[in-house]
Amino acid sequence: MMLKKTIQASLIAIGLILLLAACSNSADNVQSGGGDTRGESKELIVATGADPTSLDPRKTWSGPGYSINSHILEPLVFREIKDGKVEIVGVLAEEFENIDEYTWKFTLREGVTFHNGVPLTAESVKFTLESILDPEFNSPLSQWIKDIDEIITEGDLVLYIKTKTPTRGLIGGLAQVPIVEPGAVEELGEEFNVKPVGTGPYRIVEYKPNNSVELERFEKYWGKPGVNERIKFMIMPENAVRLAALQRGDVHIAENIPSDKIEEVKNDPNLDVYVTETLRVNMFVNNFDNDWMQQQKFREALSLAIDRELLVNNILGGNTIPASSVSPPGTIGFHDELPIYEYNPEKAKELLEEVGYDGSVIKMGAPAGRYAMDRQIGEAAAGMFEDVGVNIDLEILEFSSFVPKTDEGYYDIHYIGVADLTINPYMHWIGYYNSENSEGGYANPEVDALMEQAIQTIDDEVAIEIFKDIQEILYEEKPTLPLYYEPHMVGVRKGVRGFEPRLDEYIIVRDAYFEP
Amino acid sequence: MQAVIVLIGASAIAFVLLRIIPGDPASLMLSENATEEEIQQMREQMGLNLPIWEQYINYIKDIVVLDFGNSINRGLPSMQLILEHLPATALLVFWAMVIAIVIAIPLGMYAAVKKNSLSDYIVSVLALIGQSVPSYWLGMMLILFIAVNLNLLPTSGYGSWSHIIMPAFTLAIYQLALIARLMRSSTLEVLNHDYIRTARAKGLPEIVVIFKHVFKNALIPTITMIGLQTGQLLGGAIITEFIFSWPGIGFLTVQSIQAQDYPMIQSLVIISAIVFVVINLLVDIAYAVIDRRIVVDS
Repeated sequence: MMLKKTIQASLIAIGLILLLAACSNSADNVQSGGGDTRGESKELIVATGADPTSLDPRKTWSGPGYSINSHILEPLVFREIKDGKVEIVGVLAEEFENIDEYTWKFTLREGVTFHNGVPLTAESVKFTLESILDPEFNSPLSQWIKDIDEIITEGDLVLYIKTKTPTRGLIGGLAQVPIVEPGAVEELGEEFNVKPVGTGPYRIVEYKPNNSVELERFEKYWGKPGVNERIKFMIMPENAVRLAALQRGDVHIAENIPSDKIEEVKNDPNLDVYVTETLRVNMFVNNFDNDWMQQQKFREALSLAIDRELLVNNILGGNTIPASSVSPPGTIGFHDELPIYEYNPEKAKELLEEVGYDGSVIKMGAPAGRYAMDRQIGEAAAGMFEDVGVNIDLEILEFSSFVPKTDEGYYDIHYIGVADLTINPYMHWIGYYNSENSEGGYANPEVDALMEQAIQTIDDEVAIEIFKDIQEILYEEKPTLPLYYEPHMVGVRKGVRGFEPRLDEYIIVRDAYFEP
Repeated sequence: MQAVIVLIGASAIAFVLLRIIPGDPASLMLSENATEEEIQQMREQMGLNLPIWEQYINYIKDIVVLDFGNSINRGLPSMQLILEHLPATALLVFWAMVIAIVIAIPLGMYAAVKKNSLSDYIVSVLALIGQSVPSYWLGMMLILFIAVNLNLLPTSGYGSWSHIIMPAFTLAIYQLALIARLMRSSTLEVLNHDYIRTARAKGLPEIVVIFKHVFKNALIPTITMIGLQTGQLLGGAIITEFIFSWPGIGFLTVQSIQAQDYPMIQSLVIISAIVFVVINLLVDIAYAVIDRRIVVDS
């Protein structure tokens, strides 16, 4: 009797709590523009997978940081996708030209002002670049523009940038560098990390670390104004929660939908999903410190053992394409005539026999939680290697612990994803195929010479031919085993319009809006 | 004095452990394309190229003047970041504890009074389940069921009180079960004491016996547990905050570990140690309030 009463009382209490919650929740939706009632609030809400950590573009190094910053700040030039190819177009630079092989001239747009009302000048650009190059400042961006030798301003709007070597890469590197307002940097000090001042179509309202970043439209923007009055980025690190928030309508756009959830999203009548392959090549890096790895036939055997179609179709849900080159499609000089790397386990076994492989342990490493389905890919590939008779010792680590072990050469073969946002392939090639820097220890003087030549070639047509030659050699010699190009999956509520997924994995929503 | 030793010990262990585990903040900050030379340069600028003992001496020197270092990840002073994140965690822990105490104490006492009845068994089984359920799983289930399917509460985030219900409940469930079980056993123990028999023999109504004599005495071990568990909640908050995107210390901890943000993690350890020390002190004081003999004894 007593128990019955207790249960009844508990049920009533729970019911009351849920009812109260429901009431408060719907009120919430109206106030904050949440839920499905959000159309009139003119606010777009984006769920992002990580905190930007700093909004000073010179210090940002996370994907969400790049995405959020591209609404607040602008670079001289930026990537635009035209006919499936990435091109560099002027943003703050109205014109840019190559005066001689060491000098670029930039003419800035007239009438551009920062969010604090200060006009953009060549000095602002000079300040930004020099602060990044200052070793004391310790900016992760310095790697993109380290070739800069001197910056000369001429009047308010003209700027000459001289490089140390004849280089075609500077423009691509500058696309990574948003311009900041020098006065605000000085005035705000450390606060600039949370209140950046740029020239972008949106300006910062509030950055609450690990919670949200709120932006509002900058009314004096020089170009086409942003569509929404406000944009809010919600930081939701857990994949399943980001998806749940999208399903419930708490957010309009959610980045990085896990591959195994794509079908669920596609089947949801309220949701759409955008899938695109990116400029990131996911591959295995062979470590030449291992005697077996030094043999081309052994590397060939490993490559033949991998069923790339199966990885793409079964683990990644067919959301990308198997690799056919060390470069991703869209980059300049991508060799589109190379076939997808062959899968032939029988031939792999023959090659292993031919080189006299004795079953020595091959230490293999893969990260977990950094790339789409990375753990599963690592496990599946290890299984494929073992199927042809390679004795694999697989270690899967969280990314922050994994990277240093790859740097110290602990693994004989490891999995990594390398993006070339500069759209000049040699930027990501240097770390893997140039004998001075190659992570696995690959060295081929011919490749070195060709890369050197390509870097100094300004003429695109000539450079493209050289890039293709390099890809052919690497396809043959296999210092790395490209698998596929990292897919980028973005979920949106039905009714979101004007959103374009990008090859560079940025989420840019200045033209996107929600119409319920 | 003891507190100071705890703090020094905790900071030293954290310092050494961080540098023993594989990981390198410099290579994480640069992209996958960075060369070894660039990584080395970044390491030097972070002061990570120095021998570990030299790094530790520098660290202690800074701490003495209350400089806890800047977060590598964010470039802001680590203590400032912790203080910004602390209120969210305090709020969550407070409500989790309120939920746990308000439900667990009456439940535990009820189960003890009704020992070996059906309701006692139900409470015991529920308590066992509560202690066994991983908060990760529970959190996800709450989000899917209450937020997505029933559309009653927001999935995650921070702001209104509707945001706090699910994370607080997720965080509370383990403590709730633990406290209920402890309250049950300590109530049973007290019920067997002579003074309870005397009280009943005097003809006091059962309700007076329970609330006046049993409750207060059964509460003492429970209070110790509540105090210690409040410290534990900080640990539990790591997972809960991560799932519910709750911008507190736990979320900050996960993020700092992922980025191998040494100064940030070290400061977080020191703060956690301070919180533990303070909570233990409060527990000791609470004893004295409930049971005057403890002051006399000590």
